[in-house]
Amino acid sequence: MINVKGLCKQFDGFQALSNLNLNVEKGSIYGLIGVNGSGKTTLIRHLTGVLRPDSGTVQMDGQDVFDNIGIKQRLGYIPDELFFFGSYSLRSMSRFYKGLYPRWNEDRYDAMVEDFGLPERGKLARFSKGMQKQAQFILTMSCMPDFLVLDEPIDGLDPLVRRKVWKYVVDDVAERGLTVLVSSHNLKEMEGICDSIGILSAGEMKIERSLDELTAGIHKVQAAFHNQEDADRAFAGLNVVHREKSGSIEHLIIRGEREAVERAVYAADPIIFDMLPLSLEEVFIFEMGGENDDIKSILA
Amino acid sequence: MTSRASWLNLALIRENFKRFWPLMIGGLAFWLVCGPFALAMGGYPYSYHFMRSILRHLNPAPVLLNIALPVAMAVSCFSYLHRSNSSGVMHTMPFSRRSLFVSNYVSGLAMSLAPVVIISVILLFMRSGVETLFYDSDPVYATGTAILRFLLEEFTIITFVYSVSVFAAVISGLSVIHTLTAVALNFICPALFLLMMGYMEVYEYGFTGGSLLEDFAIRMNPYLLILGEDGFSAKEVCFYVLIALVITVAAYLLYKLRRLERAGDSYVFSPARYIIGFLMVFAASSVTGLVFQGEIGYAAYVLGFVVGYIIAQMIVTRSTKIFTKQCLASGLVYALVIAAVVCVFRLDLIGYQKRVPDPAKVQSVTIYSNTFDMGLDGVYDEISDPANIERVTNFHRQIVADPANYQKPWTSYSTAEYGTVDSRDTLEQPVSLQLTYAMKNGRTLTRDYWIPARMLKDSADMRDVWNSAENIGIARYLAEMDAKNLAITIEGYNLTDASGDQLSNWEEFDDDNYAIGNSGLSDKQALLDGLKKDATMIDYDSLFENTGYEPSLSVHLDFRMPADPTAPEDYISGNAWNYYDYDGEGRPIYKHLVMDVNVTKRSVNTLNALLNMNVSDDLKLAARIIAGGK
Repeated sequence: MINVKGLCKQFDGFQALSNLNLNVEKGSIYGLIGVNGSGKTTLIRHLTGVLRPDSGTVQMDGQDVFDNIGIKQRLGYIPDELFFFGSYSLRSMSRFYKGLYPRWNEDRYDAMVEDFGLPERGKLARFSKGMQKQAQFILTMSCMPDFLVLDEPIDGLDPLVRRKVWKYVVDDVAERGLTVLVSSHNLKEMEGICDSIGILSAGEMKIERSLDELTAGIHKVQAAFHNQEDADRAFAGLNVVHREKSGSIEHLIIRGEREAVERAVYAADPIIFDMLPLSLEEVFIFEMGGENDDIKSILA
Repeated sequence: MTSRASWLNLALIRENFKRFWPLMIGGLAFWLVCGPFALAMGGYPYSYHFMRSILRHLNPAPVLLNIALPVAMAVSCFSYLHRSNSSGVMHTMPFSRRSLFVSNYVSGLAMSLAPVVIISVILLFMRSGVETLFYDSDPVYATGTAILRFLLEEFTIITFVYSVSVFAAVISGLSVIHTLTAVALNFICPALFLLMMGYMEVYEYGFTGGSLLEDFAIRMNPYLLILGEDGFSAKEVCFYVLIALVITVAAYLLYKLRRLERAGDSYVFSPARYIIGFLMVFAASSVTGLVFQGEIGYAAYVLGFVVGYIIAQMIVTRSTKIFTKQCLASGLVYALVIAAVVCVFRLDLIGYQKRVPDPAKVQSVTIYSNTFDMGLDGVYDEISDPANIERVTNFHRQIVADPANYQKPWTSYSTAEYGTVDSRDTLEQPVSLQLTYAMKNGRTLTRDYWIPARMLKDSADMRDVWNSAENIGIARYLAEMDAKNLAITIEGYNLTDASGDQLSNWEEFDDDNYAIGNSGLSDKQALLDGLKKDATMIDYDSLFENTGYEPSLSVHLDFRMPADPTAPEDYISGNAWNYYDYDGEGRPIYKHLVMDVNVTKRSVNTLNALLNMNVSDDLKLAARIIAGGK
């Protein structure tokens, strides 16, 4: 498992990470989301052992990551900004990786190259961004990592390749107990594969819970009643976090059990009643936005 | 291949060789063209000269390669540090910082050294072809030892330059800045030393830095030391390799502390930013100040400071916003430090100008006056009598007691200020006086002054030194010479014939007695006798009779005598000096005693000898002009 405790990092007086805690269970996929500048990349650079924490610990399987060759041999990382040696082909990079990672799997490498259909001899520098990302993915997955850190892994990939990428990841999670942390702004895809989510804001972990807990406990509601008294009576005992009215239609965001909300609303005999759970994207916007315009976009 | 405890990662080293071999091969090709190819194509003496130029680092092309290749290798092997994505990826891979640093260091150093190792092996094989030629001309370079010595010197230079360049890689955040810093840091010590010498030269009267340049400045960097003639001693090799090791360890420790998030900044450590910024401003301010102070005063320092500050801040901050509070605060500190440095020298806070050695601690003192114009050239020799040493220190104290004696800029005495011959005759004209004290503790203290001639003439102490038994001056050396095996060359000064044409050089006598015959030999003997007589007749006051612009002849004497090949070589310097001729085995066979004697109108016997000799009309005319006729 991946475990971060009390992580702090400051750059030239700017507090990039503040007392940050994070837990990723073994064999799970953890989605790390946050607005630009919230500290995602800084956190990832700590998780991959690039940066040394000012304070706090960053551990994988109970061992500090920084300067730990043993852990790094079990760690795969696909950065947002890729780096290959100039003039190297996929084949020559694979030889380099093979020399570094003791669990390098040549059969898997060959199979993935064939599956993705990448030219092995061409210069990586001449590949498109999407092809470079695929090449990096092949190299990383052929190292048979126990931990995988992905920073915008599907950025630049077409839908077919995205599906293929996620399939490899999910299969490894299921078959080998791979532990994955993925950072992405594509929340719809994250919603489809993540087991748990952490929302980062201003260097702090604002919310960290399982995806089900995150999306099932908050709903958007549209309802109309015969009169205002009925409406007020319907929502009186509920945890209404946002309420606005458009004509005779009430728009609300309510936290709580779905059944409890339904019971309370039906008791007031609504003319119209519609209730949907918030998507991950809507949760994110609701949690991070906080402005009326942002919430209106959720309720619209 | 990769272990937790390993210092080296072979996979990374192999990869570095795969990536950067073109640099290594380029360097090798350069060496081949400059060395073995040229040797193979040329015959004698071409081959000899090429071999010698390589082994003595005389060929400028490979000498430049000695800095270009190690710097390029360091820039290449550590370039991953200077971009955010590459530093991130490299440090995510299964390397410890230690193995990353050491593996990159070792691979870059190996590729920098490989060309000279290969060249040395090739030269060892080619040696047999030119061995005989070398044996005749210069036996030292005929042996494999010379090639191995060359290899050791190259190893020292390259290791030093490369280590400094790696240090630059660790503290810098951009490849361009890394390259510039690597070159600058390699020469930082000699450059600072030269700046300090500049300050001493301008503000510390009595300072002379000629030998310091040779003794210290070029020895602060093995790359510069090859410009000297002696090559490296074993002690120097050990010293430079040790320094390179210390620099490497410092670079390694800094690498472990390096904050990778600073990739892209000019310098990644804040102290480096301030120190390098200061050095740039200090250099700009000092150079401008020292060069232009005579024209615009202390404003020259300010001008240099402003220009240096703007450039330095833009470089170290990588921004045009250089007037922020933080930048201005550092600029203020820079200005205070530079002002303090100028004050230290200007006000002589180090007490340099007033320092006169305690005579009890002086072993000997050599007095040299460069006032050829005043006829004083070569009148004193090394003085070791304690009474004379005390007299010299007394006179030295008299000089420094009153700054007016020595603080006049010597340029104000230029001939342009003395428009007529009459005005140039005054005893207020400056004479140069260099005092070199050999201290009993082995150190040397040298002062070089321009003082009024009258001060020297009126000095009872210096008069007593002149008249002491110890000061036999040039007469002692002339007494050792005879006409046989004596070569004489004569040069004229301020000599014009009736038509105003300048009379100048003659080479009337050489040491080939058979060619000149008996008459040549007797002429030489007559001239030598004249010189010997005149040397014993010079009194102290007559030294000051020369106007400095009267006609004169300089007689260059080179006397050759057999040398004892078993005796250690013995060198003298000052009024006379010597050198040796060697046989093919490198043993001394002849010792030469060499001196220059000035002939003025007071050298009556010498002039008479010249007029009576079978010499050229021009030389006779010169003798008449000097004697006072036309």
